[in-house]
Amino acid sequence: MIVDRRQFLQHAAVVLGGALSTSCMDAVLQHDPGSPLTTSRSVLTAKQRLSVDAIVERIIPATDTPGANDVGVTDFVDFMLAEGYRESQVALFMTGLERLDMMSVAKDSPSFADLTPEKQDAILKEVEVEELAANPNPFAALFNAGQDRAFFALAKELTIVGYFTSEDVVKNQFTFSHAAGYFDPCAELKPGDKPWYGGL
Amino acid sequence: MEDQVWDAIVVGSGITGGWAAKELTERGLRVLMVERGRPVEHIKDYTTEHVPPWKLPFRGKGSRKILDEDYPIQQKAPQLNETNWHFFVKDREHPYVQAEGTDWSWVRGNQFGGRSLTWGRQVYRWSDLDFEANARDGHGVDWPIRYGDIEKWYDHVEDFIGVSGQAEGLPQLPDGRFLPPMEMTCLEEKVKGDIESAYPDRRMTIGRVAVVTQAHRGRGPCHYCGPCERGCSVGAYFSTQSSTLPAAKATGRLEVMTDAIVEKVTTNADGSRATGVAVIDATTRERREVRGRLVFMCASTIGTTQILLNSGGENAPNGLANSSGTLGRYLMDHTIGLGALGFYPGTSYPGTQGNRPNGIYIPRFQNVGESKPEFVRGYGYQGMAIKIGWSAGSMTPGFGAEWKEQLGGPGSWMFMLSGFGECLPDANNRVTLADERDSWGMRQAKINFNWGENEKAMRKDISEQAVAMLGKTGALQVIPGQGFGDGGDAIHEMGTARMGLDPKTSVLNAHNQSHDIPNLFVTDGSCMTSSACQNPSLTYMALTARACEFAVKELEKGLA
Ligand SMILES: Cc1cc2nc3c(=O)[nH]c(=O)nc-3n(C[C@H](O)[C@H](O)[C@H](O)COP(=O)(O)OP(=O)(O)OC[C@H]3O[C@@H](n4cnc5c(N)ncnc54)[C@H](O)[C@@H]3O)c2cc1C
Repeated sequence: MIVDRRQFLQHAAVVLGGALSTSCMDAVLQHDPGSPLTTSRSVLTAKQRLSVDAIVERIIPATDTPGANDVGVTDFVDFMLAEGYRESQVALFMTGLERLDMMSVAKDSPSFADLTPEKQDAILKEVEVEELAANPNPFAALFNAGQDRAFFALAKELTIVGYFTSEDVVKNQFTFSHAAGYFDPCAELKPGDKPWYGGL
Repeated sequence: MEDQVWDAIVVGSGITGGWAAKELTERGLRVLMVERGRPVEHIKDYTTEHVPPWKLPFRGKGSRKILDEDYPIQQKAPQLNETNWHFFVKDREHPYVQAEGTDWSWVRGNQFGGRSLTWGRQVYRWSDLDFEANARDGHGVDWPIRYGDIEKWYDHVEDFIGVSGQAEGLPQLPDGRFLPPMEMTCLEEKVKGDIESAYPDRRMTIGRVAVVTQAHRGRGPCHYCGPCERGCSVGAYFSTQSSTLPAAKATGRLEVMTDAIVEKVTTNADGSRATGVAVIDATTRERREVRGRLVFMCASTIGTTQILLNSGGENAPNGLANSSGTLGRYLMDHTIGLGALGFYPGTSYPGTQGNRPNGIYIPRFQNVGESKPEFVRGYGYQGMAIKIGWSAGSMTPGFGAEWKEQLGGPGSWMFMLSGFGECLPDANNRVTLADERDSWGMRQAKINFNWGENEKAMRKDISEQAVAMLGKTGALQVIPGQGFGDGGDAIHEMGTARMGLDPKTSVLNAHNQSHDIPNLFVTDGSCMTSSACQNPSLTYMALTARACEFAVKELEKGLA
């Protein structure tokens, strides 16, 4: 069951027996829930954008559902690097990008973006294994929110967030409602049901 | 306004200020409420309510840059994120001093409504196990009241704010007047069953929460969107805006002043009576006085203490209402920390629909009945089953098509238990005034705080017991919590103007009335004589309502 804002408020008004006044209803309905994200800020060069395009698409490739490139994950990564992180974290990420290009040279390509997907995967795998060896506790991120993340860990995190919060993915792959109107504590998923999108 | 003498001035508009305004106006007084922060209007100013993730600039992740620049301390509240950070202070605009060796987080929201907008809404009664604790083991002074003195005020508050919960019949956690409880998830039911059968002395109950589960006094029932802290247009959770303000306004006897920083409580020439408060206009920095026959301090524990310490004139060099020398001392918080996390196989428990703004609670079991651990007092756990879906991806090795399928799937389950432990009153843990001033020229609060040995012993047990309990629940893996919070991290700071029987060792009497200045009342957390381990705000509200009844009667008898 997906309830839109108007339906929800009407429902609420009925439950309240009219206690929610019409003027109050109007105020809520007219209130614009935020303006769409404008990714005006950017730090990536054209060349770096190509690398990021390639990385995020290897992390979440298009399958029978959209891939990272289909939902604009690179724009989100760029925006986050411009507005969302300390300089040290951004520098660490940029160094990571450079390093991918250097590793690509060994595979006879001038840049990561120009490699075949298979070769890109091999390089990313190598980087991830390295990072995990240096920081074997996968839950460390839970406790060390204040510390800079390693390059590939950050790339993965931003890709996941950018992808799984995009309108297309949320609306088409999940059951999403910003006002369920009920709580079902044990909702069995039947085949074909989409999982509940939590944490709005 | 200038020439007027108000029947009462209420300083602060948060949880306790809202209650004082409601009770005093409903009892016929003309009240001026003075709030240092900006106005926040119900509905209109809930600018992020129901905004979907794709419309949030940082997609809900926030910005490390903004967090580090504007909220280096506030971000220690795990609840703070980009959808509600406008309801927390920017630390650089609201500085305070931490003494050498002290790590104290002063988490707050200086705006109309205070922290009632962002609080976690968990509400638990205290019992005589708590009100008698100081007398029993000798830490701190005895409470001047017992459960019997406050019971009907708990009823009164719960009836008004609306509390959903499950009656359990436990002596250490008295039942309240509950609206229908929220439901536990399948995994929570399973964990409850396993813990209760392995430990007959322990109980797990659904959180008691100031969120209404059915229409209540003109407020709409919870619609399970989840993040109350963004503000709730139907008023399903208790806040000043949704609950006490409309009641106070309805009397026609409330006036509200915002952007008005109370600098001092003013007194008559010999300092025996409060005459009102001195106020700084937050924008123009103009100073003026407003007068009242009663002054109610509800500016939060540290806020109120700062004002009173700053109000001492010639008659009171150590601060107002401080003939005992205890004002500012005995600062407490709860010691909190993750007890343990348990991880469960994904498909074994169904998912949920709707986002329940509440978790579970395991009431105190240590030093209750037969248990005799190495420490005095006790702790309770809050927790919940958490679905780990796509967001766990950054902690799951791998990438690519198959990995993506997994992340988009129903996900697996995690169970979290975090402890809230009682803190003993210690005279060295205190608020004083620093030499440094804020940008309005007011001396900053300075905090000295260290955890004691009892809290440290308790923390160890919090972690060990949580690991042991989750170990009985079929978890694939249980990991112990790492680290415990700094002082203030529980955001339950209290105790700096304690109630007591003896004017020589306490600031307030059994009615939250200053021993020294009979028309001065302090009803926020600073009045607390001990900290118990339950979330304290329900008790602050009950004490406030109780003090209001008393103060109005005293006023009728010609108090001021
Ligand atoms: C994220 C979070 C979760 C929480 N969860 C819970 C919970 O689940 N259960 C629970 O019991 N408690 C919880 N708390 C704590 C709870 O919010 C506080 O105990 C409660 O708000 C205290 O009420 P108060 O009226 O004393 O202070 P506040 O609600 O903080 O209000 C104080 C008001 O006074 C104003 N003020 C301060 N100084 C001055 C001045 N000089 N002049 C004028 N005005 C001034 C402030 O701007 C503010 O509006 C939580 C707090 C936070 C932040």
